[in-house]
Amino acid sequence: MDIEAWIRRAQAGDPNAFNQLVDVFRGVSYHVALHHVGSVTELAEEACQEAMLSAWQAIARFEGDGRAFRAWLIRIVVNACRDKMRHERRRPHEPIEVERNGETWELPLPDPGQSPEAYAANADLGALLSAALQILSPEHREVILLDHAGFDYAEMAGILAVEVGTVKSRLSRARTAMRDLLAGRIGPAGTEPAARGRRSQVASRPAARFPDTAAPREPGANPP
Amino acid sequence: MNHIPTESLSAYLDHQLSTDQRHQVEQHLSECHVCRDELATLSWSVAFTRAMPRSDVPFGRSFHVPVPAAPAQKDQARRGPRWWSMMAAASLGVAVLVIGIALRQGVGSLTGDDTGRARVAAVAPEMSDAVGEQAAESAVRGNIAPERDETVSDAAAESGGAGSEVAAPAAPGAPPAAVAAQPALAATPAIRADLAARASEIADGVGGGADEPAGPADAAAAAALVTVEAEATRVTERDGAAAGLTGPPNLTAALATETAATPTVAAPRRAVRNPAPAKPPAVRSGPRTAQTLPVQSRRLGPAIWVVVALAALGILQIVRVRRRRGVQ
Repeated sequence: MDIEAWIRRAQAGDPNAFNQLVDVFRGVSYHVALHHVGSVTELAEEACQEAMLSAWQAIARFEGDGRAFRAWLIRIVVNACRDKMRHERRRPHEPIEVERNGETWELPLPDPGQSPEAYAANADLGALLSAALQILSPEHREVILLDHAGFDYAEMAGILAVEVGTVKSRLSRARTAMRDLLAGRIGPAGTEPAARGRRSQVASRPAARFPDTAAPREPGANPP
Repeated sequence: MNHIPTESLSAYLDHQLSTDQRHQVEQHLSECHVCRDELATLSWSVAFTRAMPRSDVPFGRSFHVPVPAAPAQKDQARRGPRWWSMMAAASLGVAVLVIGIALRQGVGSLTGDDTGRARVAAVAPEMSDAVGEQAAESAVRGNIAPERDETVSDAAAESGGAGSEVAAPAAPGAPPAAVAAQPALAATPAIRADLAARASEIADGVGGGADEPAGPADAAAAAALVTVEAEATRVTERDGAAAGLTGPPNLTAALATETAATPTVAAPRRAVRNPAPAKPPAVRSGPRTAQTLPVQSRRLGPAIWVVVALAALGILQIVRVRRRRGVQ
């Protein structure tokens, strides 16, 4: 792949070459953006578009190889998402809505030891993780997403503009929080995790309420 | 023994520990089931999280940056000719205006002082470099009618030849001057024919008037010159109108035509009667007659060509701009 050639051409002012780079990295960019802004597709799309425009304007100042470019681009995406969240004054999803409109939370949690594949076989893994991510703090969410995107500690430190040590501790805490969420050790919205029984009574597919990760939240999901 | 901090376990999962640290962790894990459990659950959640399916970019969203349809240089190129053609049009307008004024003033002064002979004398030598060398020749000899065209009827030739002995000093070159047409006229056959006919008429007039005293002949010569001047002005104005500039009715030209008509009315008309057959050939001979201008018009000739060239350039530019705009 001649990503670096495209980078050079884009730096020389060729928008078509830059759009080739966009094609390569838009998947990871959109994924990070979507879960960063709380699975609101419109916000994620706007953030990505603005990030690409910013990157296009700043590409002349980029130095590095293809992998560095990926981190550089995702840093711009993350910053665009932060801006979006600030400007929209919208909070990410509330916790894995246990109680929504008086209904019981229907998203099943995986059994400890259950593999992701086994879970995904009869439940919507993406919906579960997306919902769980919304409960995390923005910092934790960011490191989880960047880890998922395959960046190492040094790259995460560069993207988030923090020390590597901070990345290390932040990622550890984020993972612990994620684990506790997934294992039901911490209940969403402070409920006791004892609700294991609730999960068992869930017959309907969670996808019924969380159609997919790309779908916007349901109307009325965010009480004023 | 202290348990391993979760941070180290997390880093251990990511292979981010130094060799020493890793050995320590592995040593501890082999002895501590609490830390093994911790690592197992952490690893489980990491595996779960990393298994998160990649969200698909919504269909139709490319996040491409806009690629300008036309590069910036093309925009500039588009602006260039437009500016250029406007300049050309402006200079064209100014040139036509100036020349129109100059022409009108030139004709006015000519009709004013009415020094036909002086002008005719000045014109005669100039004709040698013009198209009608024959006419020039005849003008120098002061014997116009027979030499002007071999197709002219004998009657006309004789009358012209006879008259020339008397009238020659007065109006040697008047007919050639009358015949003289400006270069622009050559391009319009109708006008040329018209002018040629007029010229032959005048030539006949001079021939006929030769029987009379020199005075009327002189007047006829001047009048003929004036007629040509008026004709030239008229044609120039027509050109100007064609170039998009409508000139006001040239009063001077009209006046000149009138002046020309007055003295010629009396004698020549009748005298023309007998050389009547000479007329059609005279029309045919039009293109071969001297195509020269009186002094002022002659000087203005190049200017007229400049005007025509400017108009052509302006139109060319406008066409080019139109076409380029049509492409986009």
